[in-house]
Amino acid sequence: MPIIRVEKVCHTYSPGTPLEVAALKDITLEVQRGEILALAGSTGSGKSTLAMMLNGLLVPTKGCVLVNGQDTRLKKNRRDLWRQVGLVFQYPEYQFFEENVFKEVAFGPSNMGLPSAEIEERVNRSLEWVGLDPETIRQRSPWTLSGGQKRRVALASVLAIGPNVLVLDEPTAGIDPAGKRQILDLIKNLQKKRDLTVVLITHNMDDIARTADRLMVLDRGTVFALGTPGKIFEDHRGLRAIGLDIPYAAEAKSRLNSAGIPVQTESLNIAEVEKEIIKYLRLKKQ
Amino acid sequence: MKTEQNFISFDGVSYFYEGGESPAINNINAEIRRGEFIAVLGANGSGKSTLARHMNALLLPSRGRVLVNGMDTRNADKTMEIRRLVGMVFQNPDNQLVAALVEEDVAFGPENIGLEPGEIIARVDAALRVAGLENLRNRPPHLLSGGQKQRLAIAGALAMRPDCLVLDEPTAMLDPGGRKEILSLLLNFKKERGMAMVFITHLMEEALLSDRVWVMARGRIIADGSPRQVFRDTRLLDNAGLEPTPAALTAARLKKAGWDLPDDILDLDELVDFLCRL
Amino acid sequence: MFDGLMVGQYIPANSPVHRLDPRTKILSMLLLITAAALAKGTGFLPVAAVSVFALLLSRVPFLFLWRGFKALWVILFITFILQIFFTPGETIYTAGPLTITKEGLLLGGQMLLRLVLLILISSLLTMTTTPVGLTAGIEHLGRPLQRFGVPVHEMAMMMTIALRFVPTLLQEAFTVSRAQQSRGAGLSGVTLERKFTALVSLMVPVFAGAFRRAEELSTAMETRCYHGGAGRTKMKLLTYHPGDYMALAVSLAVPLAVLALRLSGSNGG
Ligand SMILES: Nc1ncnc2c1ncn2[C@@H]1O[C@H](COP(=O)(O)OP(=O)(O)O)[C@@H](O)[C@H]1O
Ligand SMILES: Nc1ncnc2c1ncn2[C@@H]1O[C@H](COP(=O)(O)OP(=O)(O)O)[C@@H](O)[C@H]1O
Ligand SMILES: [Mg+2]
Ligand SMILES: [Mg+2]
Repeated sequence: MPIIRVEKVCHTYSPGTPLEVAALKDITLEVQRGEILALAGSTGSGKSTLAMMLNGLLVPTKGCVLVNGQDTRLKKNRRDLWRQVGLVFQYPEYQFFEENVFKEVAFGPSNMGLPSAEIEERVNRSLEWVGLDPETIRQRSPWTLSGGQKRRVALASVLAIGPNVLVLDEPTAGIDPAGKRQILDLIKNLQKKRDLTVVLITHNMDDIARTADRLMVLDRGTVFALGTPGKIFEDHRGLRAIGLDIPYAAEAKSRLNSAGIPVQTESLNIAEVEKEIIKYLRLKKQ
Repeated sequence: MKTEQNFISFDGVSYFYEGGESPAINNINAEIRRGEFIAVLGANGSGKSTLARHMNALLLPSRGRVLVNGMDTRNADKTMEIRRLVGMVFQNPDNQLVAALVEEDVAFGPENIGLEPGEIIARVDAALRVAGLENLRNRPPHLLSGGQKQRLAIAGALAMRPDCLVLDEPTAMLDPGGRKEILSLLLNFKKERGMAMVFITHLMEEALLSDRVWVMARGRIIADGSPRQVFRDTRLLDNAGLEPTPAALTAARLKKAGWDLPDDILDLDELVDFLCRL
Repeated sequence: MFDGLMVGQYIPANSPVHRLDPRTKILSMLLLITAAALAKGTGFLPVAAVSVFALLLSRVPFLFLWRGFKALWVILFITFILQIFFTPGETIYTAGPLTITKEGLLLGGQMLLRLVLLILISSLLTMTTTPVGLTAGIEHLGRPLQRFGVPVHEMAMMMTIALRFVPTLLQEAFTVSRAQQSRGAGLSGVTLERKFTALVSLMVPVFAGAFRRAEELSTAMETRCYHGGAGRTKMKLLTYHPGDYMALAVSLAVPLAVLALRLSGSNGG
């Protein structure tokens, strides 16, 4: 059974006014337990709206969302959804409000009404998971951290709630290349070791090539494509037309092929592409 | 004369933020020539924005001095003149638009320097045309896409007819489509030459457009040269928290596997070209 | 819930009302509001007629106004009820300790009508005038005050910026609120302490965000040579056209008509 089912979902902001926006139109999607599902689309395509559907912050104007088989349209199902589906917003550091990192990360667990020993344990554990040393960082003000550290604290503050599903809205936006790589590796690790299901929203195609098992591409509120990244990234022209890019490995493959250097691999892993290049060079040398 | 050519020059400039123990930029000596396109690269916190804000007297050096077209930025009488000569565009498209209509936002700068209404309208028209926003002139900015908002910010700077345009990570908050809009606009400016540009980014691919690259780390400019010179030095990039372009990485790995590739391959075109000739 | 639409927000269109000089619209609004405040009985007729005519001319969808009324109906309703029950006079109906009087009904009705007209007239101004136009108009009309040391330009600029950022800040407040809800704020908050923390978790980021924006905006303004009102010019000069004189004449006629009707004694109350 999929962990989340999104069935024929539509969402309209400001319905019945001249400023009405149909942000999602007839979206159907299943999120499988344990996978990393990437969600791509240019700005305004409806990614964040869909993300807020997944933990019940928004309720579809049509269609339904089932999390673990429970319909989010029912208020009683929505109440505790935040514990199951953790949502890390875009630029989450703008939501910091506590004077130190410990309190910031403890906010979620405290709202669950846990005893303080348990809170303490969860905070330490989740800080470790995101690669921060609890002892040295817990008393620091979250505002004084570097960009990458802030993101990781924000991630820890959601992990401390103990969700099964983690939804990340553009987690690497505005971070420099080194920080980006750290955060992506971390997400990949969490999914593997902690048995998490991850929905990763991004418009960085290389991030998707590197991490995602499956990909859904949104275009102005509709599903443009849904499937494996390898397959979807074959449609260079289509993706460019809706304001997206293709990852480097896919671009390299197609350029090499059209230049007469055959690259057969299905994989979006650049190492595989390079193996093919070496194969070609060896043949040519003989 | 060399100094004739220098439009902006930094002489031993350091800057300390209030309460900061170490300088955000440290003993900077550098110059920007007329019509030159410089890309500034560096990790978060390396001092790029601090450096940029010295170029139009938003910040004044704690030590050393900055000259813009021969004027010392510490001279308060020249501040307006300097800001007219050096336009600036920032990262967040929402926080730099002032007016409630596109054309009124472009007019904001020219209005501040007291131009005649006829002249303002001529400049607004020209700037909107260059930025490709003529059809949107009567829209409220908050209904524009991210790429359009940044083009509007650029149009607002252009309407001042600056000699230098400083862009502080203008693409960082945009999607790939918006990013391309901005890059192609910058490429057009480069072709026309007239205006110097300082383009801050942390993407190597974007920096390839420039004539010259500065790499910043811990408040210093640790490299200054053509993209080709700078990007072949992987140790330097690593030290600055940057990553070589993916094509350069591929070339490096092929080289490691025993194939004879030059070490200044920057993009896929060059890589594929070279492999075909091998 | 906020969905990007605000009562009285500017609605772009190219109607005769939109094209009027903002000063004309501000003055007309003041005149019409005065008339509505003075009106009694049949005196409401000219005010209502001119306002509705302007509304039709402006081509503002009626739905927008309706939303405005919906947002304020509680106030309207309470005013009406208070008037009905607490005005002494000829009793029509008694329910326990409460009595409805004829005078109360009349007064309540008038009050309701007056408030509805007030909302209609002021929304008409803001819905057909860009914030920039509005502030330019106020700045112009306020110019005589500058001589007495009133910082008219600065106040107008503050108003422009406030208007420009209200939607953004509201949007941000909703984002923060949703983000904190995702961390459980205010959901299972049973204890007072947790409720308080939930409030702080909303207020701190919203204020921090407003300050961050304000700082970035003022930097961007300085970059573009902003240095107060001195020596500043305007792209669009305000000029009165024939339409403006007509609108002003009509608007001036309305309070005069109301006064005339009151003096001639043909009022209903
Ligand atoms: N609170 C809101 N009110 C009105 N329209 C909104 C609101 N939030 C988003 N929208 C609109 O819905 C569409 C989808 O937005 P969003 O889900 O934020 O897209 P993305 O995250 O892909 O950028 C956009 O057109 C956006 O303008
Ligand atoms: N307003 C400020 N107050 C104090 N320190 C600052 C301020 N702005 C930047 N800094 C510090 O100065 C250094 C350089 O920052 P900045 O110029 O913004 O770097 P970049 O633009 O490369 O990310 C950083 O260590 C940063 O923490
Ligand atoms: Mg979004
Ligand atoms: Mg910066």
